[in-house]
Amino acid sequence: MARGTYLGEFELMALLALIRLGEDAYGVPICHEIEKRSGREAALGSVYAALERLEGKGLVTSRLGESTAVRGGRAKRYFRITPQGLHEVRQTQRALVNLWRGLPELEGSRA
Amino acid sequence: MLRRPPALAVWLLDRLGYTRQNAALAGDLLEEFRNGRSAGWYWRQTLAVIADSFPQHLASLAPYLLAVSAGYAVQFPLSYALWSLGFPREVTGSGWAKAGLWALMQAAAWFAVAAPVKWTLGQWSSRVRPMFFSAGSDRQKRARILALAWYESFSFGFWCYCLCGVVFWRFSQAEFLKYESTWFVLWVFAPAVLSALAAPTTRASEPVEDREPWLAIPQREPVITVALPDGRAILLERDRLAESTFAAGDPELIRVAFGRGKSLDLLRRAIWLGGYRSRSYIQRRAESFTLAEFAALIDETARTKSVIEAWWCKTNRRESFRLRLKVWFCGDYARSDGVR
Repeated sequence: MARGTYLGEFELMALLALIRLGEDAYGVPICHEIEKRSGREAALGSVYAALERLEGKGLVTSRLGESTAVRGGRAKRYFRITPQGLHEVRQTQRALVNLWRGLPELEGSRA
Repeated sequence: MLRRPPALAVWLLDRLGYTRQNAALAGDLLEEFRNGRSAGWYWRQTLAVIADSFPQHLASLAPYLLAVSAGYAVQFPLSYALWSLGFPREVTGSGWAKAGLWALMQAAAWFAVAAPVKWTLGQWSSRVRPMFFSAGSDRQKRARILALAWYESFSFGFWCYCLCGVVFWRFSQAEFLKYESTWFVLWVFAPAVLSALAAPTTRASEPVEDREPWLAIPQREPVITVALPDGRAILLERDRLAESTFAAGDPELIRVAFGRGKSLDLLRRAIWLGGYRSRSYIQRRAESFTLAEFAALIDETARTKSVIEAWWCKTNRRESFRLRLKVWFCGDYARSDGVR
């Protein structure tokens, strides 16, 4: 992993949610996915802030989708993980697993 | 009937959140709210968005505030030095003579600020503030506007000191400091912060659609919802007008949009105007248009020279005053960007 590109906890969660959702990932389902898997309420504003940061780093791309009446005519913004983003997730996973391994305090418990 | 989120929360979200740069977030919040979330949830989300976006606002504001503060930092010691020397001296004369002098000096002050703007940016205006926030990512233009902001802050403050010294009274040191600091907070710093919070900034990463100049007008949407006679509601988008009109397959809608000899460009302008009005909390229009209203909107747009002109029309006096106040604070970005 290049220096200065470590993923934050919430950024990692957003990227994992993106991978799970695939093509249909926009703000609402991403937020639901994070809430469902983590058991914590996630603010849509925080999700967008994290995704914008990730887009700035080139780990995510976005495109505008369709508008619907229920959204007040506003277009959806679909997000997609880039190959570089996928690589960063793998690197982070590897680093976390290495840190996890061999800790007597955490022996016998599953992450 | 679609549920409406709390009006104050929507207003705050639009003012202090970054939803004008990111309409998708506002759309997501609305979608969730209409899918059963509570008003309390909407409020919590709004406050979270504002808290997240405030540092971004401050970051975009920093160069402008720095320029304004630097101008003031030069003006203050100069005015203080003149005050120490007892300059300028109060003019003696009748109240009418002083009023005349006051008006003359005000006009000269306006000219002293507006002339360099005309010379540098090519337009007669003493309103540098909105220009900075509508300059987008043009670095050269932003640098010139920052220099003008410095000059405006300096010359306006200095002129006001001279004006007060000549026309009013010889103030004490304590009064001098009080008036200078009040001037800075009320007329320089506060309006700069307010206009920055209300002003959009475009970023290079934004899609081209979001960099359209008319999108910079507060609470704008180039989309309108039209209620068809058979009960359906369709969205007309400025860029996909023909596609969505024919996809709706309604002969009345096609007749209204394309059967009256209007140009596509005019129809797009009508959609921009309708989209703005339908979501304007000041003008308080309905969320969707009937076909007759849509036809009237097109005719209204055809009668006016520009959408901005139409935007000003059809508001009663009280609403017009509020709208003008709002534009005074937020800036008429569209006019300076040449929207027609």
